[in-house]
Amino acid sequence: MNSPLRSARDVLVSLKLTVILLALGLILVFAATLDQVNLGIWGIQEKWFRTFVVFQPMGGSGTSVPIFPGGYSIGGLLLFNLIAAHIYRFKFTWKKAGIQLTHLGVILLLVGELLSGLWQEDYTMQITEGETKSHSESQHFNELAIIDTTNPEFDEVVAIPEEIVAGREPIQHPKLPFRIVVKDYFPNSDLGMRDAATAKPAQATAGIGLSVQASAAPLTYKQNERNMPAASIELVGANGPIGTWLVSTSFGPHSRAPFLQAPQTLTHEGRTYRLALRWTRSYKPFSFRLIKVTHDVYPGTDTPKNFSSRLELKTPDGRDDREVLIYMNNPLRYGGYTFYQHQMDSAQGLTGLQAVKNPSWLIPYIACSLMTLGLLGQFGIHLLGFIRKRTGPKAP
Amino acid sequence: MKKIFPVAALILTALYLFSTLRTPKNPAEFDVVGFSKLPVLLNGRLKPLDTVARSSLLQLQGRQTVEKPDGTKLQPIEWLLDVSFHSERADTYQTFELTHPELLALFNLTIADGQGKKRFSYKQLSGKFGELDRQAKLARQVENAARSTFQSAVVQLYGNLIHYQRLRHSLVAPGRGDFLGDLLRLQENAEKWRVAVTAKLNKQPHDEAAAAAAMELGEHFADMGNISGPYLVVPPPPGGDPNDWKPVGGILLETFRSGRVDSTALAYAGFARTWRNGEPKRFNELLVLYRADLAKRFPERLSKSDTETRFNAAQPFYTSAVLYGLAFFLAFVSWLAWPDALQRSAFWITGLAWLLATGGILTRMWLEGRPPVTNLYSSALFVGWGAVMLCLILEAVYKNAIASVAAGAIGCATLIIAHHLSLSGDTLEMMQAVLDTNFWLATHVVIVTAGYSATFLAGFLAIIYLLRGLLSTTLDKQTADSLGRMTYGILCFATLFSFVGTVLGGIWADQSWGRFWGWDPKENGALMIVIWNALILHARWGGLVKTRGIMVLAIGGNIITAWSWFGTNMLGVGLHSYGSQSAVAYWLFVFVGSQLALIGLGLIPLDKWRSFRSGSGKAATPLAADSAKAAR
Amino acid sequence: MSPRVPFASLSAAMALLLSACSKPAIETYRAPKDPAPVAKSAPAPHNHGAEAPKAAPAAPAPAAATGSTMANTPVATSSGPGLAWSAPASWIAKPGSAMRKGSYAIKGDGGEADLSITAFPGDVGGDLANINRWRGQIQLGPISAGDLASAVQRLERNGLKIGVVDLGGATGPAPQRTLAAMVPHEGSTWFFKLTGPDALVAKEKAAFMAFLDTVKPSAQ
Repeated sequence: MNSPLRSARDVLVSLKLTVILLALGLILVFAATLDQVNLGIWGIQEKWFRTFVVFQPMGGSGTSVPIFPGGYSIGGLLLFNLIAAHIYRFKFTWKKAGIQLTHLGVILLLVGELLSGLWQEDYTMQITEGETKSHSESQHFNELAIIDTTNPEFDEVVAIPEEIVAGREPIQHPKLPFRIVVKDYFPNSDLGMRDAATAKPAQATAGIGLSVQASAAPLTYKQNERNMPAASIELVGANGPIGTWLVSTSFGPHSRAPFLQAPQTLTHEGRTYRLALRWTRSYKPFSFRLIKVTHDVYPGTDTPKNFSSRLELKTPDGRDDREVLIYMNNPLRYGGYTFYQHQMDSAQGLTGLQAVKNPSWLIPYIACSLMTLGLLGQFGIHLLGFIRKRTGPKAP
Repeated sequence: MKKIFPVAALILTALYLFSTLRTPKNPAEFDVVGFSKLPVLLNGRLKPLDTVARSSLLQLQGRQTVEKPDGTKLQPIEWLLDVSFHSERADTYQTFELTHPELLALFNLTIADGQGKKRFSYKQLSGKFGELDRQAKLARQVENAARSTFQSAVVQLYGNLIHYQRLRHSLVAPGRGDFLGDLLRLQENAEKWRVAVTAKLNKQPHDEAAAAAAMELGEHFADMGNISGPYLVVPPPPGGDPNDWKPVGGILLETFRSGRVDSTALAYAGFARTWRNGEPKRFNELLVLYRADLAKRFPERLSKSDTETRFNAAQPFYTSAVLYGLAFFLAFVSWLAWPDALQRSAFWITGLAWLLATGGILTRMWLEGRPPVTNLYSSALFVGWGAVMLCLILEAVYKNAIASVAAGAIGCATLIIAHHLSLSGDTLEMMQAVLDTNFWLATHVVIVTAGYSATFLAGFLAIIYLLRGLLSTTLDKQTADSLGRMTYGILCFATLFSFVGTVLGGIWADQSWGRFWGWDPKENGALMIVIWNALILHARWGGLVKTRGIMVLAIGGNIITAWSWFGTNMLGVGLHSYGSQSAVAYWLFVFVGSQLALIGLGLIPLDKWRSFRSGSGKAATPLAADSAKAAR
Repeated sequence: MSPRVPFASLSAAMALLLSACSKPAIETYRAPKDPAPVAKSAPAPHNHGAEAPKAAPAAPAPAAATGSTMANTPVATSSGPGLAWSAPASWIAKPGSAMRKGSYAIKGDGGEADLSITAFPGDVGGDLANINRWRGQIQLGPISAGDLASAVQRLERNGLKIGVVDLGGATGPAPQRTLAAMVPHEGSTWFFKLTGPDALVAKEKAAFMAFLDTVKPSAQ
């Protein structure tokens, strides 16, 4: 092996690199924690951890400057350093078994965190008493749904992620008899009534957009707010344009204003479609009906003691049809999902369940067992050696 | 002398300790101690009135003693008796701490008007309530974090005045000269009055005088019901829901329906009359009767309430703090003179103080039915307790007073921190819903807190190394060597505990929230401690740092642990954020600054250190060689 | 063992792993029909647990400070049979307190109005005393028993006898208005009391009256 390669290898397997990476990791975690005040827990994960490079927007110019290696870089290098060092120096002795076990655990933990970042689905499910639901909704992602409602039994859904809409390229899909052209798109929007005297002529040719206009709003990162995107989309069939609609996540049954609640539909070639920009949905092969929410407080105080939701769980095949109770520190694990009590508004009889799917959930458990065993073993050996040494020569 | 001195120190300390545990005595003929044991429902749990008095005083003025205008001292319960039953007198006691100069100006007061230049009476403040009310309304429109110091002071004082008002309305109607007489009249005329009021409302002929009397009294009851608190006084009827305690005002309003005046309300009205009229004998008789009634219904709770009163009076953590301070002093002096005698005395005193703190923590656990760490206050107690325990072990092994100095400093400091955290009110509070699980409180929280203890201890040992090496010539090779080993050992402990604790936290999060790790500030704080400790150990194993480097890094651990403990709560985001305070931010800032200064000192080249200047600069080397061997 | 081979394969594996970031893709699926919309409102985000609202009990002002001998709301000490209601979506439910059966904030241009729902045994000294207490709170003079009949509007809803008062017309820099309903039920009296800036409360009156239509004895 020639010498530059060799010295590169020596750096890669060195403890010095480990220490530097740990220090960088510490700074990363600290900075990300502070940034939560601005971006919230979700925002910082995207900005600081699930990225190779951290970009910081500069001033009002909208440009971003790379300021720090991201979680993927530091974690990845640390993983590389760990594995490489172990391959390079590996020699089994009982004395070092603890350390090696610990490091194996660290490797697993890093991989597990990476996988859960990629695979984890963390959606919420809001149900009012008496309501039945079989889907959860994302708190961060939105989708443009083109729903074919012709069949009275079920809907055919084509769900287009917001990112594709944001790309503003014409969208085609074999299931759709038309093209979608994005004429306007705002990642966050304010809605206002269209004022005929002053406004530009409406882009929309049908639906809510005839009376309502959307304008760009600054992006929000606050913990209890979310961005409400809006888009103006034109559908183009084989024989030319069908029409233009304004869609927004502000529209829909959850809206406060009655005229925003009506579904926007169109008929094309004998089939009926509904258009909606909505919170990304994840349908489950089972449904919940909320029977009752309970909010207990400690006697004579307002300190909440418990929140619980009693639900009826049903599968279409009838295999499961039972009542379940979800409360604090007692989630329901069912069908690969974990449902835990997240929000509650008992006055309105409304519960918010967090529905988490994480196929790699077992990895941290294995990793942690390995590391704990390893550390206990290693420090046990140290302590024994220390005691043996102390009991040798008499203390002064 | 060498033998006798430690034994004498031990005996004297033990005597002092036992003297604090004696049964509290009544200052006069009134059995106020018995009164202070009466249970009420406070913050969701039965507590003695003594706790109401003490936590109220801590909240209002940051201390438990009250000085009357004539200079005599009052016990907390005597103060509460006066507030409840003799408010004209209590209004002249200077129990409201007020230091903000602009707020003082608002009241046309100067610090010279205040007791101890900072405490003022309700009467002194009473002229300007309208203006305070207006200012509080303005301040409340501003978000908590964005308030100016003036606005914060306004909101705090306003809250304290409300608290005082509520105390006044909890037992009897204030301003009624003879409330017992009122109740007895009500008892006699209940039916007649009810008929008169109903007739009056239905515009039928009625006894005008009876209706007026009833309605006047009803207004007072409604008043009491509205303003009373923070505790509930009237126990549930036999066979009722044991948690269904009620305020006196509410229960008295029911008289108009039931026609029967509640016996608890009568008892407290009786206490009020005898207290005001100075009739200790009748007061004590009534107390015996009322207690006997309660004892029949809640024997077990009554005994808990009695224990809590004793616990409050003994103030074991205060005594511990004093003893830790003494041990620190003795151990420190032992480096200069009489090493053996003082070292041993310091060790014994530390041990006694630690035992006392252990007893205090165990009592709290029994009262609360919870593992030791349930809130910020108890975490401060436990951090100190854990660190001192490690110190006792180290001192038993090394016998060089270093660990005693660290124990004294950390023990005393954490108890002082705990005292300041207790000022926000009752420290035996109920758990928020998500924390309501003994298993995880007992495992995750306890182990993480033990990790804090160990990391702090390593940091303090490092400070001792640094200051002794830099400023004195006492850091000889042997001492440096053992300090290095102690720090290294404690660092290993810290790594183990903080790591296992963090992992358990992840498992808890996965169990309750379906995700192992959420990058929540508190989780990140714990992770940072783990990373930092791992960094120190790896740097040592890689030969990147020697003893001095480890020491400097260990001091850095203090900063990171302090951040994780207090700093993360101040961000006000995430699922774990409980108990944030702005005064904490200031002290955190000061602490971090001091640690950074120490790190700066630690970076001074070794040949400038007094202990190493005279050619003994090799002191640390053998250890480094030794540790390198250990890592292989 | 030559470290070269594992090194190369390790690098490749890492590169692969790290590039495995998911790309958004269009999905198609069949979904059950959405049920007919239930009247619901977007919930106020309300994280429980450690972050649950540490709402102080609706603490009354020091009596001397407000200059009134009665505090704002009657105490809730009645237990047993209760009332149920449904509030308009635009009213924001506030965490209840020890004294309140229900609590809502109604936001508008002129600030915020507060609706408190309380109950307590008996009749609290009668309608006149209640009305005069409320009038005092918004700086209005008392009325006499003779004025009572004209001041109270009597309604009957869902088997409940409801007395409604509209107290307004105050002057001053920030005039307040109070709309209140008194509902005797099973030996207790329930109070629905809306207080806030004059204009806002006046605007909200229609909604308040509609809200009273929904008040009925609760099932339990």
